[in-house]
Amino acid sequence: MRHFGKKACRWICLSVLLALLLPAEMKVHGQAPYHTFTQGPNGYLVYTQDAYEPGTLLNPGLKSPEDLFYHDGKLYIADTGNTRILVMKGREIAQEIRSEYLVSPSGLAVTDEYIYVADYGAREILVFRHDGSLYKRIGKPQEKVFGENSAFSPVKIGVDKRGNLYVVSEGSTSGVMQMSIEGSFLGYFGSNRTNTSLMMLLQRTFFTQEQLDKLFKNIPSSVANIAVDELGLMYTVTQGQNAAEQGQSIRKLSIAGADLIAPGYYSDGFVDVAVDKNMNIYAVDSWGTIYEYDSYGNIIFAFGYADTEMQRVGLVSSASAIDVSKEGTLYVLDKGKGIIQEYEPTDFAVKVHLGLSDYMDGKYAEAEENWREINRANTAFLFSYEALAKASFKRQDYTEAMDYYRVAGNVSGYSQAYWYARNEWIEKNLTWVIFALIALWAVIRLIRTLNGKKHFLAPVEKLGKRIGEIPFVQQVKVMKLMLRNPFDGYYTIHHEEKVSTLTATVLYLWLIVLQITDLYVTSYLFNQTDIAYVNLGAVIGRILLPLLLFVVCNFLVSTISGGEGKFRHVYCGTIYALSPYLLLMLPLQIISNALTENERFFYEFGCLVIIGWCVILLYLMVQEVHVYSVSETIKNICVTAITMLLFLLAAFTLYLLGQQLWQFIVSIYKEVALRV
Amino acid sequence: MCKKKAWCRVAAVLGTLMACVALALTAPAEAHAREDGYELAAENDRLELYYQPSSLAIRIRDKAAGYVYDSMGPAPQEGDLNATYSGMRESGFSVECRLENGNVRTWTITENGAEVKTERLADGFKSRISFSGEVSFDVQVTLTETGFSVLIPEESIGEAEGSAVRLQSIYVYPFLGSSYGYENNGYLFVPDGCGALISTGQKTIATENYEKQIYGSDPGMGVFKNIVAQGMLKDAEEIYMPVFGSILEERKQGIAGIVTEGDEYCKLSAQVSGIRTPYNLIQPKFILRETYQMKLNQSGSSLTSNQEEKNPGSFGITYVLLSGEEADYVGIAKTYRQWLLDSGKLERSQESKDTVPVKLEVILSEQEDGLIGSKTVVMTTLEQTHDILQELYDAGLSDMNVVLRGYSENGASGAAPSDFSFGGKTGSRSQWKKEIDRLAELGIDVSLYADFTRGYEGIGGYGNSQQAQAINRTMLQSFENGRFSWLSPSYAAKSLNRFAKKASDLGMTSLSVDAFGGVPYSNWNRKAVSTRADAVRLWQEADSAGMGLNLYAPFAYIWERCDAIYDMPSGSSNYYIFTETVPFMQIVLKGCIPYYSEGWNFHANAKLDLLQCVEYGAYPSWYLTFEDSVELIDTASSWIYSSQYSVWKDSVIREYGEIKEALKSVSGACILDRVPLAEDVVRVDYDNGVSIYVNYGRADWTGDDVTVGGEGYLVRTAAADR
Repeated sequence: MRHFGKKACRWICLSVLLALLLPAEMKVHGQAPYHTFTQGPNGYLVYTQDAYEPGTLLNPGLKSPEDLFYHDGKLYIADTGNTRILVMKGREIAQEIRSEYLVSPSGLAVTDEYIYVADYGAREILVFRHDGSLYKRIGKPQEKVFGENSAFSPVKIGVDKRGNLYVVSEGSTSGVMQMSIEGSFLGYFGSNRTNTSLMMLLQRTFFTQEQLDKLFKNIPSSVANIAVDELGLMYTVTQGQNAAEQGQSIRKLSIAGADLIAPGYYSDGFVDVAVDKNMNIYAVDSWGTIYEYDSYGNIIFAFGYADTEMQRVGLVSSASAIDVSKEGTLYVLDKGKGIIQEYEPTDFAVKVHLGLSDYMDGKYAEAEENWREINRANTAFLFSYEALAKASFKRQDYTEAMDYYRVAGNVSGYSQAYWYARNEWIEKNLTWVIFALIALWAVIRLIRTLNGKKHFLAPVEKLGKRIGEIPFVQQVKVMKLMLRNPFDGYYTIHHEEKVSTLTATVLYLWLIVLQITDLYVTSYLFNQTDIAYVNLGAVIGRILLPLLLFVVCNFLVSTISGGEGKFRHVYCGTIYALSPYLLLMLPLQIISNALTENERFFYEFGCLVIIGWCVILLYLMVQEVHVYSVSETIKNICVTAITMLLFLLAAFTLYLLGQQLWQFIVSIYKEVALRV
Repeated sequence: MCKKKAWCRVAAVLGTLMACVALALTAPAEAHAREDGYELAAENDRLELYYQPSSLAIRIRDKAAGYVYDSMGPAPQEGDLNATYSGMRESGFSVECRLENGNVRTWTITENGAEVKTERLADGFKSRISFSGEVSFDVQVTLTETGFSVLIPEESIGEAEGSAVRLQSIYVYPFLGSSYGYENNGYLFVPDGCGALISTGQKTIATENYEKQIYGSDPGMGVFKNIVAQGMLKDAEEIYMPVFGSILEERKQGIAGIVTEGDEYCKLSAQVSGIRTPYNLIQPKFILRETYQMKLNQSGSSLTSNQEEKNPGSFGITYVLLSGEEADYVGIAKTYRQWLLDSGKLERSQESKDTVPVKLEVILSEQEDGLIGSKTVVMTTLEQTHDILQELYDAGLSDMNVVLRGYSENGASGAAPSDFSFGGKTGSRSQWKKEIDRLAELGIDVSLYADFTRGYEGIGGYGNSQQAQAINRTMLQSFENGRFSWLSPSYAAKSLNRFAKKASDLGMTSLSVDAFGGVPYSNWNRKAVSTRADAVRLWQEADSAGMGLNLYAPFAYIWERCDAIYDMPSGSSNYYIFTETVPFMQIVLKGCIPYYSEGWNFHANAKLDLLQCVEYGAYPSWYLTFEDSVELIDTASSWIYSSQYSVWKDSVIREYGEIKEALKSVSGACILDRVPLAEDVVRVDYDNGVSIYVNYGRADWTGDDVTVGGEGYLVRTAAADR
């Protein structure tokens, strides 16, 4: 156009005019131009089969259309730029609604009786009958509660079964306006929360009113669009980073205004939301990425993106609305191109939808075969595991259910299945276990009695005694002393110097081993870390670095503040202070495997006791090793903590500088390698 | 007696009448061809070539069919075209030049008064065109049996010494075969993906014209794609074949163009009525130089520079005039196939077997980052591979092409470009040799998956001098399941040779090579500078030590080296401007090179995709592993989200059986015609007399004396027909 001056412009104008006059439609057969993603294990999105294929492009000659609504086989379009409401049946224009009162219709809702139009230009809600005649005009509410100065510029509208109107007023931060059909204002609903940071709190406390006025107002983000489902539940979408951080980009609200879903994946640019008959939720962002959630907010499919090169069928330039037909066809309104893109569900999506609706209805067993097929088609399709787990659970195959729940990442489901599996095990095995225990006890008693008379175990006892005499074993045994009498323990370390550095180092290694057993031994219920994603260095560093830093800092601090302990003492004392952890953690990890979610208390209490014990021993260590009074000990610990912080700060600064230097060297190397 | 005489008289009268009508039709055509100072340049039995000496516009008269093809297309109305476009329409050749100030201008013969010196040849004419003494080149237009050819010889292209004006590109007969408005009964053919049509009989909803370079644009020119979009979107298709066409009236009149020389530097642009001009046209443009962005510093400021040396090579296009039944995209395909066969770039496959081949890609192992370093995830061992293949063989998959992925220690994605080691866990080299020999006895072909053109990050096996660089001194990198560098084309060719020799020692007969024969790129790394044309040549001539090459989605320039095509494109980019996707590439290749569909593991509409395979004559392919594919989730092969043999076994056997039933009757046969019979029904005719009907609709279809079941197909052999 740039090159062809006025004449071409005229031609283009003419062609635009023709486009408006001649409704054109066209179907192009072909594959989807986008990848489709679904929820995979470990919180990642993974590739999956195409869920929707681009279908027909509808081009009824729209100009900047803002909204679209599917009702009873017909598509209602708010053709904002042309100031009309268009009704399409299939690919044909069935009806055109025009009115002198329409200025810029931007929101639509349709019921069996009426067509509701939110017109932000007219600042009115216009209600039409299905024959196109105007039924009612609803202007700004007159109630005092609404406020005389509050603006009323309705952009989007939703209607529930009882005929209540939900109106999104442009820029309103109080939420969605609830109005009766008579036009009376009933109140606000579903406003978004604000986020208050520490900085804001400080500002509020110390700033003057003048200063506060100059700051940005901390107000909730205004809702961008809404949908109302058959049950009267409301769905809202809100744009912007703020809402995204609060997890309010997409919300499903109960009658009381509480959040019913908390999706893990969403966009901060959602422009519209729609709900189908199975309560699956569809949302589209302005880039044209479509997100499909099930009624619990799990992401089922996500696909599409803005057109970045030549115009490809199935991609939109700027989406403004989405709706879904009874058959599951999606309609996305492309404001930029002025067209409607259809998306047809594939066989795979149909199968998933069927599975979801069965699942929702609690028909787990009936849906099993279907979900098994979906799982076969994509073994990473996370929700299939959830559904299969439910089915196995129903079949009372609890171990299988546990396996599925574990992949699905459903801890409470896993716990529940495990509870049953454990019960089953106990029922089956209790008798022989009791018998076996009694038998074992009897055998031990027998051996002891016999040994008392005949001493036939003498060589074994002798060996045991000799092992006990090995210095290393004796030094390890000091741990036992630490548990019983820590003062004696520290005396042994400090004054008797009975503990070698080597032994202490071995114990440090054992500490590391315990970190790894925590990953492997601890029950899935209490540690869901996936080994595949664990960085060994990080695991070791997380426990070892603070400890060693403490050792070094404590030693440095105490040398200048009259502590008696040598470095060796602090080093050994610290690890011996952790004796409860070193001795009891592994048994606790093993026991955790016999527990369910209901007995979580035992595990957590056990951990708490161990850690508390260690902290006390650590305190005693400082006091005993350096021979401090109580006040000196507390002072020493505080100074040590500050020193540790300073060390970290210095290390961080050095790291940053080092990285700069490294980058500099690398870029020089690259430059040289590239050019020489 | 009397009756007979009367009949004779009637016949005579009718004959005379018809002759008169024919004369009346042809005579004005001939007169029209001579109007406006056109001179006859050459003539043969079928065609006459006229040209206008001042503008080099041409008219070709098809004497038998009575059509005149005018390089100017239909006449415009007042105000349709601006001066430049008018000039382009009226001139045979136009150029784009970059002036000293960096502006690019289009110069046409008529508008800019270029100097044209013409000499007549026996079968056409040769002209020297000079634009204001700044740039000049020769063109040679010669009549052929079926159309005409245009050639711009490399040595004739020149710029005036001391001049700063640079020749950027040359348009060749940009309005030839064009039509006007929306009410035509024809279409433009674009070789996008497997082929696409742009109707000239309806108003498009597109607002952008189509323009792409044949074989994809050169990444060596420093243009990179949007990374986010790349993650979310599938790549659009490229132009696989240097052929284009315009059907002016379906099954009556059309013209096909084949870019015979300089195809790697040719851009095709398809424009339809209503977007820029009221014309529908498809025009080739040869690129001599491109501008690029030279990055100046880290903060991102850059400078627009122009390519110093012009692109090498001559430029040539052969046009074939199509009339009657041949005037459709099938006719263009057959014309192109004939040209490929005649020029030795393609061969008819001799075999006509009773079996249908299948491609199975077995993933042996993959690399995953673990607790300590990375670990190898074994997906299928040698023994398991053995059992799987034996079981499938016994179930009727007798003609298998097995591709092994992840045979080396580092797994499928961790292997260096030319790594030829075997991982111990998935079978050693000697064990595989034994296995390959055994499978060869059963007639199962085993090949190794290899990629010599892409070096993945962190894997090594190549040095700085082997990495390709763009003209603006950036590394040539891209992203597909991991970041990789494009390697220098000569290094790729050498690696291929080394690898092939080793594979040959192992008793293999073919290699399965990815990305080879894909987008050719220029390499500006000073240690191994090569042009885009060099890349094409290096790959065409790569010594594969006698091994056959199975290539993934290869472009036409390498088809002469190709024994099998994997991942055959089955769609176009589906732009708004397209009105139909057609299996053009399939029509060209069926009966010449066997081609396989993309992996079938990822179907969303299994039934429809199977029917499409039957219609397109594509052989099926699957990815298989013994272990559950969920094991691959944390590896670079996570895109394989379903491949477990125990899950897929039944589908593989069943779907293969269905395809075999359909395609065994057309093994080695060429496609003669493809006829849409209803909205969802199509018939494909083969040269051995077999026709395959495919019904995509849910309802049964009856016609042609046959009934095709809903979502089904039907094979009608010649014998059954008679």
